[in-house]
Amino acid sequence: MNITHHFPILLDMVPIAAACTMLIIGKFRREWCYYWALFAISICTVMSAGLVWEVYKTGPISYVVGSWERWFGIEIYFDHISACTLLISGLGLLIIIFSKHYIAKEIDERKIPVYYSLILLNLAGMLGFVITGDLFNLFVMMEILSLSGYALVAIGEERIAQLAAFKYLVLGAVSSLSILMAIGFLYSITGSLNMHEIALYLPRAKDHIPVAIAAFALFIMGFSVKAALFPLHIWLPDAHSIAPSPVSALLSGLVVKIGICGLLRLLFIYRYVGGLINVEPVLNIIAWLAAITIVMGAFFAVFQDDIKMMLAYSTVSNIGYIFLGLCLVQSNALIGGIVHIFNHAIIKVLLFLCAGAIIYQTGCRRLSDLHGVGRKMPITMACMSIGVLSIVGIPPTNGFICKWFIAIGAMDAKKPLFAAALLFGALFIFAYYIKILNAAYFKKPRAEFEKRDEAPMTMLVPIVLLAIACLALGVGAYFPLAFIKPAAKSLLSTAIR
Amino acid sequence: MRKVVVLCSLLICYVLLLFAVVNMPSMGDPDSITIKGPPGRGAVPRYLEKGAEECGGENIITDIILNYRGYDTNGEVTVIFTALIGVLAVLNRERKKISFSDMEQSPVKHSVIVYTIVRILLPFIFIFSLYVILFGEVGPGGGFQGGTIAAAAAIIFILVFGYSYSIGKFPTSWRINFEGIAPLTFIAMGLIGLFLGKNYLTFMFPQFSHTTNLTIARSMLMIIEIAIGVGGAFIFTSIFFAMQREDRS
Amino acid sequence: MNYMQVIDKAGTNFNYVIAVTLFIIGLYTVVAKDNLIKKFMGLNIMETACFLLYISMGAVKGGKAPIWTEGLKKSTVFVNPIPQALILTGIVVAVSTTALALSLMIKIYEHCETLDAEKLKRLETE
Repeated sequence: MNITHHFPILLDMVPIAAACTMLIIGKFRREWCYYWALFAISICTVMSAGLVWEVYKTGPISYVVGSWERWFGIEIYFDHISACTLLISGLGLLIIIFSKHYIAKEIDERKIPVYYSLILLNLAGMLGFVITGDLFNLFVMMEILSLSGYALVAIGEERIAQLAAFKYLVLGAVSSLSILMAIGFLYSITGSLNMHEIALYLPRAKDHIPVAIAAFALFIMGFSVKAALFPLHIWLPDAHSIAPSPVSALLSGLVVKIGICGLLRLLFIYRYVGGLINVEPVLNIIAWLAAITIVMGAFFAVFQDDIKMMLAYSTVSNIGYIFLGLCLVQSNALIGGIVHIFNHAIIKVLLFLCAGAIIYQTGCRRLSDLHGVGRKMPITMACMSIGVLSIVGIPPTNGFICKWFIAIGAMDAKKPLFAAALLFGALFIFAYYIKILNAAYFKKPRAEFEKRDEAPMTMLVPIVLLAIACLALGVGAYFPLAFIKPAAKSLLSTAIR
Repeated sequence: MRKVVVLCSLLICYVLLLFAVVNMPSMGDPDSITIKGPPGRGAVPRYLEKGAEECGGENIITDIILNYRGYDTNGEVTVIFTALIGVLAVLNRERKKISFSDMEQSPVKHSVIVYTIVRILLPFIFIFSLYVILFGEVGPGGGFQGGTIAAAAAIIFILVFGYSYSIGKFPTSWRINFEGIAPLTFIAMGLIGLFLGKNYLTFMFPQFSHTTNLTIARSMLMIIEIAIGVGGAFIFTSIFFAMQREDRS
Repeated sequence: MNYMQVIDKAGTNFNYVIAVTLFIIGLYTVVAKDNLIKKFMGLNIMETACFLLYISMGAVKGGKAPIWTEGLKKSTVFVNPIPQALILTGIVVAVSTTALALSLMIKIYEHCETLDAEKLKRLETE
């Protein structure tokens, strides 16, 4: 048995098996839960690294569950978009390492096995989502990650956690049902649930084109809620700021990207229908909504005092960048958008983990209480400064590369208004991050911040690794670009025109 | 004002969806593309012709959900397990003793008729759920359906006989072991296919003859169905126990 | 298509029209009603509408249930089994969302003594 051949399916089943046995392990000793989760996610990281390397060398991998064929079985299709699995399992590993001390302090100790189980289920759902090649399987995996997301937001004890989780649940459930209805429409006109087959047979359903248009609209509505595009972003600030910090990092860094991966899959399905449907106006509307999201998210972030609320609004703004990059159908902007998916995930996880370390050590979340914290926790604040510089987009960090590409793409597509929106957004982001750095370093420190008292090692190691990754990906931007350029070109060559 | 905006936008969505629905293939048409499928690659004719001999069950739907599209069912049992974990995350697990007010020990007032009927019917309900699970291959039914019936029987028991009595009959420490049984059994059965040289969740192997293959496929299907039924029953019972709250009068 | 054809098509696809109507009614309930439990009932109505759409897609005139009982010939017309398999999974997903939402409502009621969305919004900003 050649085990590397079966990596695609094991990638998804290992976290599920670990999550199901987590409660039994938690019955014996609570401390073992952390090590069990760590073990499971390390195996996943190794497997996804192997798969991404294989895809880079030889091209997409197709694996049909049950040894049937693509047209009547469920296919797992690992292509260039599925390289997200490396991002998901790598960042998941760092988040689980960070959670060891943070969760022991923050939530009720009876809920610790439940917490690790939920994190593993969320990661399993995300991994399953990006590798599947079957539409209904996409829906099931999306439900796994959505349900565990709602529960993770509600795991704290404050009353506001349950309210934020309920709002998130209602909006998320409505979007899941829209996607289910859209899958139903697509099935009724093509007779197949496999993404490749639907892409091939959709142009033949010429008499039923309005159904395909309605399905497209419902898909976009569903995925926009998941990815928090204006005006459907209202669930995000509350949910991401109330959740415990590792959970916020997971949700902001990875779960919102799932909505965008869903949209990429949607473009993949509709790629041959360009002659029949005119999607230019739809993409235009989305580009405008994205520009509004950029400016509005950054604008609201300036006036927040709570660190995590500020970071949540900044997520909204950056999602706008990604949408803008994807909707200007132009090669530089597309490359910038896809690279920003990866870079923003790394930067946002870094920022939320730093905020979590600060909250753990000082117990304060408001900027007005955190004057001079740079003296108490120098390493954490240094890494946070690197994250801040990345998100503003200053070279040589990785944030600069993607924003540069998107701006060039906007100018090339002769839409200078979008480049202006980008600039405004960057200026606002610059303003509020200067606020953070100012409060941390240059204001007079409080009495208890004079002593050096860094966060524990298990919390520092992921933060430092991520900060190094930010700098490395900024300087050595050749490697991810070499991987993403062929993917973007293939997406664009069969793109909807 | 807000209501007017909401109504207008909903009306626009309604018109768009109606416009789509009117253009869908006619309902009930035996020649439509969902029934016949794309020429030569229609999934439905293939399932109906070869389902019984390739999967071993006469109920084509059970064949589909456990064999052809088994990965989806794997995801489904994970979803229901996620729901249980989610409920446990929001509400902690139930405690050994919950004090109800002196007026009532159980949510249902004591009544001889209710007690007697429930006592007589419960064994039959459990047997019926077992029947639905085991006969899922040859008639309507299946793992999840039977498990839900068993869980409904357990919930009637808890409602009528009171929380303290039932928590003694279904102790928490014993239930924890069985909640994760459905996804784990699925993964175990799926991995068998890996060891015998084919992909995950394969039940028919080229090394064996056709009759041996049918026996293997049928028995694995049965094991998975029983596991889904038992797991589903335990999960719903645990969710119901976790939702019991102290009486605040 | 002219009006007669549209009405004729709507009559043939009547189940789909009802499914879409229920979907919009459910969406209205989620958005416009104040009580949290009513919002959740709206979600359940939307789920039922989706299931109705799927099952109606599988209907075939004169088709039998796809079970090979005794005495059925090879040439029997069956209904489409795929939507029914998809809906079995869909119902489980709907039940899971229901369980999680109800447990959240129990916790909200314990904390805030009310299930009215307007009052809860005021409590949130306090």
